[in-house]
Amino acid sequence: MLPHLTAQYGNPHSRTHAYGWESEAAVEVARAQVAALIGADAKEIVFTSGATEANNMAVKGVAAFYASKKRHVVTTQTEHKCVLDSCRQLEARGVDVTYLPVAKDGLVSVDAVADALRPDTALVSVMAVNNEIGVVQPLAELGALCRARSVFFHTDGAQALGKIPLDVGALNIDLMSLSAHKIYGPKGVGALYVRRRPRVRLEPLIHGGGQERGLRSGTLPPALAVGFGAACAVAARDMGADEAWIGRLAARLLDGLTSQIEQVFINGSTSDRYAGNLNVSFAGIEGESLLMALKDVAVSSGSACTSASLEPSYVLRALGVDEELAHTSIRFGLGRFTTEAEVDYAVELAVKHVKRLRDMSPLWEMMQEGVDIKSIQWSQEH
Amino acid sequence: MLFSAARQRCAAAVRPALATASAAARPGQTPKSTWAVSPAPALAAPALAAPLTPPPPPSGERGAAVVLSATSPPHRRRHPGTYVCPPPPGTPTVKLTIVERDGNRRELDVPVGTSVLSVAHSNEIDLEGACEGSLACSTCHVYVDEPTFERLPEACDDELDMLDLAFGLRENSRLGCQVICDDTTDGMVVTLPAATRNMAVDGYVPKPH
Repeated sequence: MLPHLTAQYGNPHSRTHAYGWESEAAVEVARAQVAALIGADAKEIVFTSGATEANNMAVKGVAAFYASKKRHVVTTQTEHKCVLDSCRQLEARGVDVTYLPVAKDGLVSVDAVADALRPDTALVSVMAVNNEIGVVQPLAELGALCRARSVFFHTDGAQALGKIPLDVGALNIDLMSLSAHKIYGPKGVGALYVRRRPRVRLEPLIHGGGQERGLRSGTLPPALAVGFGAACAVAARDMGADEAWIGRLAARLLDGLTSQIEQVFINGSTSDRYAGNLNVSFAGIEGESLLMALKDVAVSSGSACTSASLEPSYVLRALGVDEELAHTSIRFGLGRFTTEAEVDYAVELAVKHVKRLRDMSPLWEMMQEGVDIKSIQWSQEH
Repeated sequence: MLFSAARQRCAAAVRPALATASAAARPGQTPKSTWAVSPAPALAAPALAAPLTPPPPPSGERGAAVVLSATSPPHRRRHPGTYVCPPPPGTPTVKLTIVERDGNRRELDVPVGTSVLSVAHSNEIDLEGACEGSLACSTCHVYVDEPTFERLPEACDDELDMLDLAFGLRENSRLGCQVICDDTTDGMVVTLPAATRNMAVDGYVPKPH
């Protein structure tokens, strides 16, 4: 990346001089690297400013292009905020959106999606790996269903890229949002995979000089694109090793917690999940206090984009997790560079503070005595 | 990449023009170029083994329109779908309606085998074909009426790539240079989009190429 921030400052769209040619060559190499990781053709990758922009492009763009004939979109209640908010915008413009509920394990039912499809459905959007609870949705079945019913299938692959094997051909994915910084690439760049055969059309969000097949005009950032490509190349090489390492660390983390404290609940399916994203709830304590106590460990309650807000997690609510329990949830993220010592430290700290908070928690005391918290009549409305 | 691909296509188009192969000898391949190679003695082609003779009129469904008259220079080749001089009497025609930007409807009888772009140019309809039908731009972008659109042969990847760049793309968009009029398109209604990529907001209209 550094050469493109210093000496190689050519604009990749400048066709007439060597500075441009070298930048363009570097960007095209990166494009091929991104495509290779998902089994796509390089021409099908459109660089964007991140997965948020890619999700906006996919949802709003497809709905807008086919607006004359298709007025329906299907998605789930656990999608990333950028997908849900884009869908709400579509509703304001008169498009019907079906937000499908998920089961207690966080997985959407393929039959429910099939039932929700209408003749005028333009798009089905189901994320690959959930950013809050780490569950992996049944992409192969959904892709096959959508292909059979001639509906475009979009998946937000930001958390899945480079972590689980993805092949857009085998999974019948028509659009996929990708993010660089989730796989150790730079922040500020992502991509949207847009299938060319059968061709997916979308109305661009950003018009201009026609870069990126006319779908996303604007000068590309060579440094960021190159960083994204390199991250994808590394992920392709290390995916197997990462999976083994992260699986071990996740088991270590979970065993450490459950062996020392009780009433620890994993949110989301334990079988269809990505190991590096573990969301656990500790009964009887207050989540924000635990989060503050765990300042030494970079965890979050909910996901990064809602960490500053006081909203309870809508993902956990969709799972049917009790509101009290939802507030105590902590998301532990494990990655390529996490060490066993760090996991042990996190376990030690979490156990210590959960015990401390439970010692001073009247709710916990009541639960230990067998009182049903729900049966209590509180004197004030919460 | 765009330009180098176009240059390669142009180079490929010029080569057969110097030989005696005709478009009919390459069945199934959509002729893309409307190149006409002007005679220029200084840039004369390398000496050929046989003296140049006018190639035989192209046969087959695409070549039904006779494009070379007996008096045209032998190495002047045009896209079989283009015609500048009126076709000989007896050439089958089909109906085509072009709806211009101001709503004006032009009902035309066009010879079978001509492309919508060449029809527009021959009838002074304002459809800019900046690359002259070599699949290197999107300025001949048109909307085809739904029933005919379904009957047209599917667009190739190159055409779809160029269409991605067109202004005001819709589901029934096609490039005018790739839509060839024949029996299946009899009665087609083609509408010109409000603008093209090259249109200027100050109303400037480029002269036909």
